[in-house]
Amino acid sequence: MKYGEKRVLWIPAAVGIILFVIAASCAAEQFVEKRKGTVLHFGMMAGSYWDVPTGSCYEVIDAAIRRFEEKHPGVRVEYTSGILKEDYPEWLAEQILLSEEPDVFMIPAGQLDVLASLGVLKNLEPLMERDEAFEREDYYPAAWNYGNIRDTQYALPYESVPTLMFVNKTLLEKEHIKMPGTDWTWEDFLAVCRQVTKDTDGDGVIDQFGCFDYGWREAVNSNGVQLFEKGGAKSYFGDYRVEAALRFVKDLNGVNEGFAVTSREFDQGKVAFRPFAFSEYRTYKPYPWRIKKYSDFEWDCVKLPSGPDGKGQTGLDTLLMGISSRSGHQNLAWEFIKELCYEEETQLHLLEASQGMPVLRGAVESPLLKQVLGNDIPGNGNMDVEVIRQVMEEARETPNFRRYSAAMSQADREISSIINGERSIDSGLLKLQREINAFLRQ
Amino acid sequence: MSRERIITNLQQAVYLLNFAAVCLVAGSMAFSIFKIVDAMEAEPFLNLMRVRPWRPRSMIVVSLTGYLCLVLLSCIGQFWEHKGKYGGLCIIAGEMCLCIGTTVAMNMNYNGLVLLVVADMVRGQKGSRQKLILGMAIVGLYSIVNYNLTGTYFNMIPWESFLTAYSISTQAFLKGALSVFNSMNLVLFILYMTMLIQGEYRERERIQILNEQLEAANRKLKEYASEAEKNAEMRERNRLAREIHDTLGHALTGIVAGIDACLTMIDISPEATRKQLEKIGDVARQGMTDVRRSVKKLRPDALEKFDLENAIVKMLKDTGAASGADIRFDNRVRPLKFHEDEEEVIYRVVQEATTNAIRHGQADEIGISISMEEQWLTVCIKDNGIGCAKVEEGFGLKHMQERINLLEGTLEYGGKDGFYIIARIPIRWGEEHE
Repeated sequence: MKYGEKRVLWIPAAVGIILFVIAASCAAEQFVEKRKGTVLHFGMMAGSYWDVPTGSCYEVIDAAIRRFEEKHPGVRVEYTSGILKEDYPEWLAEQILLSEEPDVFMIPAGQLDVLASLGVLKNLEPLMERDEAFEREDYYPAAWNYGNIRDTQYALPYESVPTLMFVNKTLLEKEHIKMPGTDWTWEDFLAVCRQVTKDTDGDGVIDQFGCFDYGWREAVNSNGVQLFEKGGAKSYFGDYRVEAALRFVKDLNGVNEGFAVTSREFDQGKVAFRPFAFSEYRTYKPYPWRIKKYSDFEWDCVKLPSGPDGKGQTGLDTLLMGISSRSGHQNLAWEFIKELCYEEETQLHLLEASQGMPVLRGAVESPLLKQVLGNDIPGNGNMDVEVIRQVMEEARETPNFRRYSAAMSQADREISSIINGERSIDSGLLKLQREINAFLRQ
Repeated sequence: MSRERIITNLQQAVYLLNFAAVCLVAGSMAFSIFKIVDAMEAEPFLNLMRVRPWRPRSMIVVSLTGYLCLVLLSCIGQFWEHKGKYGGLCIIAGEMCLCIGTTVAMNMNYNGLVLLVVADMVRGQKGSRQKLILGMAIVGLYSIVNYNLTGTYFNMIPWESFLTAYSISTQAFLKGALSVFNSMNLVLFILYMTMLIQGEYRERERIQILNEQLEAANRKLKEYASEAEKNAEMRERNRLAREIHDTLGHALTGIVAGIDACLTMIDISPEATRKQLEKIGDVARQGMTDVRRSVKKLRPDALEKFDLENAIVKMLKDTGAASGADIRFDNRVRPLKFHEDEEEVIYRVVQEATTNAIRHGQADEIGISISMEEQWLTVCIKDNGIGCAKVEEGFGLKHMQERINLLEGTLEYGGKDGFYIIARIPIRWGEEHE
């Protein structure tokens, strides 16, 4: 076919014009970008990650940004403020879809696996290898491992919250019971619960209780069991230690003789124990929140009681930060994420201004911790700093594979029916393990 | 409308149709992202993905740029259709890369571009080896850009996932539009290929007809040649007949009439008879002269003008110049002067043998020698041509044999490696020649 005729030339001509327009618009955009200078975007959620009231969610971050900008002249860090925790996953997903995600951002709970496998998160291993000043051993293992997917580090921990046991000191004193020590066990726990559970006003109905909100997850953790294989390929619900934990929870529930304890009883000071996130401790212990809640009684926190095969470990919730794989400033982003997650100054600042725990051993072991906790609790009883260190060191990371929360909801349903006695413990757990494994294999 | 015009129009239609399809697929994908963001459904959407979608603008820009470059390259390929084998190959390779790139940018949700590239490949291909490569390339290209085959491997996002952002009716419309584009594309492709193949078929038919015409013309030419030969023979016969009639006929008639007169007169006047006989003798002598003159007219032209040696040298020089062969002539008999009939035979033998060596033996070196031993003259012709194991006696050799037989000579020939001819002719020494 010949293109000798003039009228045929319009195709290449039109194509050329369109291509030129595309190239010109791309070039113009590049030019505008360049004129803006180096800006590092940071994605964060407003309010507390730990679901407690907070007044100064930007304080630590702002200070870190200030320090970072001083160290790197000509670089600005920007963030969008006011995105609430519940809106944050959607906001981040939208930014990712539009390819406008921040260079460094907080990772919503349970989203690490999804973001890593979508290729949104940058693999941090090469950056860590290059950085000689960076030692992963400085982090508590549970916090560190939470940012690890299939043996690759995709995120750095920023802040953690362990679970502790809330103790109503006033109630125990009234019953002439000693405060539990760090090495107390399920038997001790159960014995105290039995002792305090009674009808105090003589109306024939029990109105003082041993514990509230202690579920099978706490029991399993404190008995040293790992429920899932690290990659989330299979589960170990059939383990004898899980069975022991369920028997214990069943015994514990039996103490209340069928009465369902609610947070109302707890707030009124009628419950001796309750598993408590460290962030709540930090929030409600000091003034002014202390006045608002739990004002009628003295309280404190201790380690969770140990099961026969465990050491009273707790689950550790960790807030992670990651770098976008499409960030144009990878090295700056690494420096900034280090400023947040690896700089001791920032981490110490967390002790003062946030409700979580630092994830660096150096920060937790600093004398500031004792000072800060002491300030929180004017006058009376002081939390043992050593307990917190031990809890952080021994804590178990929450599994972070994609289907973890779905698998746990399924397990919750089955296990509550087992605890209610609708199914026998051993066969029920084996069935559950089969079902969960089948679900994980899908 | 001419066939070429139809093909051009088809090609343009294919370009436009694919442009529309690329716009539809890339546009719907990019726009769906905005719709998802608007509807605040980004998180559930992202949770269903196995790979993050491209940036909406990149989808459109890359798909469109890739496709337009492909069209541009295709046009360039048509301008350069006859300019070198490697240029064409480079263009096809470039088209394949652009096709794959564009299809991947569209997450393999539209693979009609393959047909465009295949059409260009088919148009450019020549020879059967290329056909095999072409077939393999087409199969490879098609399997690379087929979502069902390789899409999962390359982590592509199916179109349906993007479409979930739209309402059911919009989804139906988009799906319908794409399927119309797909079928139209296929129909146009088939039409285009049909036209292309038809064109090739017609070309072949035309060549066949031309061949037949050529053959017929050739046959006619041969007929003319043989007729001309026959005519020439006839003319020669007529001339001979005329010549014989005019010379011998005339002389013999005179002689017969004179002898008849002598027979009548011999008894009456012996003197008159003697005079008559003298006259008859004159007539016979005159007849002989005339016959000689006639025979002379049959001799080769060269022999008329030169002596035998020069005639042979001239003839060999002409032949050598005409054919490019290297001809050496070694004459050891001097002067080379014999009876006319002997000279003619010698000349003809040399001429025929040289012609044979060049025509049948494809020789480029020919050696000719003439020597004499007692009364036997030996003419030896040897060449470096292909020779032949079994000699088929053709017209030339037969003639040679006949001519030599007339002089009671012998002819010997043969040879596998080159060809040789040795002719021996007894020379009539002593016989008088003028």
